Amino acid sequence: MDQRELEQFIRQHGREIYSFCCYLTKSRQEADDLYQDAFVKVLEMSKLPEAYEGTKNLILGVTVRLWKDKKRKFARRRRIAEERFYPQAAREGADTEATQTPEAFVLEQEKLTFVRACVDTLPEKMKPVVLLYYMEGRTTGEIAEVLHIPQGTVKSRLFQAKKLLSEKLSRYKEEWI
Amino acid sequence: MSELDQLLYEALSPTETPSEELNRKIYLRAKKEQTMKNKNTDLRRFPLAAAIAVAVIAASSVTVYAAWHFCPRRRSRRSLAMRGCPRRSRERM
Repeated sequence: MDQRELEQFIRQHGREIYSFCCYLTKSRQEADDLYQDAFVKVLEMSKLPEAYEGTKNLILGVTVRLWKDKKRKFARRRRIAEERFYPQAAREGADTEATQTPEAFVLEQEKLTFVRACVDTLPEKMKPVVLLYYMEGRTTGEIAEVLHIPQGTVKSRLFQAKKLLSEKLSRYKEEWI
Repeated sequence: MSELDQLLYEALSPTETPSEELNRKIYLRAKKEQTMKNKNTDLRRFPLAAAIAVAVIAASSVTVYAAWHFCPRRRSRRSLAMRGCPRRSRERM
């Protein structure tokens, strides 16, 4: 992958990969590190897949592996100085404000923040599967390819994650929906 | 699609954009990586080229030595005469 191809790739997929890093780490600083490290790791590889989608899968897989490796370090850092993660939509909610009342907007954001917090409490094995399924819109087969695990395992993890989330969200469901 | 799915799709949509500075760092790193790779390739080729050169020199010197050692001038003259080649050089003069 030469310089121009890399720039094009980042323009096309950078946002999704960075969001994935943010939701995984729940910290902008750690997401920055993870995003950069994943790209560097992939660029260091001697042979890259020719298709863009293949490279993206590779980066997502490397990101998950690096995240698992760094989790202990991140946890220690988080214990020292906890940083709260506010997604950009919540910080720059100007577009949404135009169509909704401020109260509705705040409630909506609160709801989404709560859902994200619930996702964050999921076990380490389930979190990447849920993120790839809902954020990236991948099928279970594609997730299996990215994470190098059998498709059946992906399905079972997704099912368990949904069950856990449904239990956690059930208390608030009636108010929201 | 269930309500839970809808909620999760909404909550987990990709909203974050990497900063320009972060992307620039990656481009710089990629450039550096490319230069290193090229350098390494050149270095990897150098011993191969050196080995080929040494092999050629050794083979040619061995051939020359063998010719000098095993084919003395007299014998080669004789063999040329037997083949019917005309004598040349000093003897004619």
